[in-house]
Amino acid sequence: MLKVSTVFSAALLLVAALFQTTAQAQTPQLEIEFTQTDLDVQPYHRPYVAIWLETPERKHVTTLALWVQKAEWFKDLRQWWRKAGKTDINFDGISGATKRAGTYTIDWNGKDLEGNAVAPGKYLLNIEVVREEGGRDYSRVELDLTKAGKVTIEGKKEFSTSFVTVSTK
Amino acid sequence: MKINLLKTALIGALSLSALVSTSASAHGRWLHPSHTSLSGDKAHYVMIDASISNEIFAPDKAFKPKEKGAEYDDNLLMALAPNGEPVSDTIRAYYLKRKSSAAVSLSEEGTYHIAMTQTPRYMTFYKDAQGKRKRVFGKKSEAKLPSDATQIKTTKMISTVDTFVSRNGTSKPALLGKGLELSGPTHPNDLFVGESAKFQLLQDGKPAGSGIEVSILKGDTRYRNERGEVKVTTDKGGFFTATWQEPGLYLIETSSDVDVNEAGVDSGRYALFTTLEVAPE
Repeated sequence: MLKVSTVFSAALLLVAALFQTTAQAQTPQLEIEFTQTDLDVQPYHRPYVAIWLETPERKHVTTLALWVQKAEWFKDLRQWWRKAGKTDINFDGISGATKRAGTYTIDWNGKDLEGNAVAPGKYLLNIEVVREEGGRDYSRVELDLTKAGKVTIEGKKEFSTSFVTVSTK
Repeated sequence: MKINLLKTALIGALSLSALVSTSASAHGRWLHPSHTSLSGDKAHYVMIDASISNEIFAPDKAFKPKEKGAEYDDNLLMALAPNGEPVSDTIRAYYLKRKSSAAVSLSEEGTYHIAMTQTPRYMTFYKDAQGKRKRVFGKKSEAKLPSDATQIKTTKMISTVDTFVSRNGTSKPALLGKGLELSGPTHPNDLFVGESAKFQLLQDGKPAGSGIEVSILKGDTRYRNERGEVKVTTDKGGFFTATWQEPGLYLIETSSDVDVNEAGVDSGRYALFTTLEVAPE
């Protein structure tokens, strides 16, 4: 009985290992086509923007883009702040200055902020945009990093229809 | 426990529990923080307004300083820093007729528990010669009662009037350890519309019992016709769940009977008024 189960688990392990190899070979990559809406308002303060990944349980995995100025206002990116900003994570690698309206491409190489590969699987992609004297826009969509394809993420006002392309290489 | 419950029930039936509870909840009292969540490396100030008002978060009456005619009160408010230590700077609350206002400096990272100092108040209830129920402030030994007063009972009341503010991160808030107060699992500065929050009601730092009614009321009652308070009841362990329909400041209100072993005091009551902020999704 013991022998049989040992052989069986060894076989299972082998199968699992095989699957893992294939899974590891597929490094998910993302290309985000993000459109910050051109609003005809005076004044138009450049908004703070955060784009990040969460697990389906809404735990922060990594932040892909952070366009900000002063830390004093990070809290206004309410969802990003609660999930990521208030932690000790260093965002220097992906943060940059706020931008004028337009369409931007953000590439993600499948690694978190510490350089570790993010496991393939299901995630939530979050986009949050908040503008001084303006509005706040927040959306999240499910994303399967094992399946190549294009997903749409709709903004209401501060950002317009944006796209996320998943590729697995 | 059973004996206690029975005793409480007896007191409720025989004396003035219903009246006490009405009077305890007759006047809303609350703190109104200018911010509940702050970011950045620098220390920040938060304004805390305190008022006695049933129009939630619209001030009506300030808390009068103990010293007659004083412009401020250094003992009205207190703040526990994330490490549980009281904030050493005086929290000077100015008496502004309809509200008391103070600025609190948050120099540490984490969650501050800001509260009114829990000063016991005594009320004495009695029946006058005509058999009408009356009440006066103070213990029966010190209150001015008519000589023909009957059924004289004194109740000791301790109110917790508090809120939570986090700077550059959240931490487990320090407990007051006295009276009623809220504890997790949900962090009081991580509340969002569409999500449910679970809190534990504590009494003297320990889980309050089951069956305590908790009122959840969204502020700005002035601007709507229905108060629309939601009532929930604590389960075993004092837990209750709140689901937020709209963003805004909320007042969580509850009270409970407590045994008091004090000369000249017949019953005790704790009340809780906690201000929480709920963010839009």
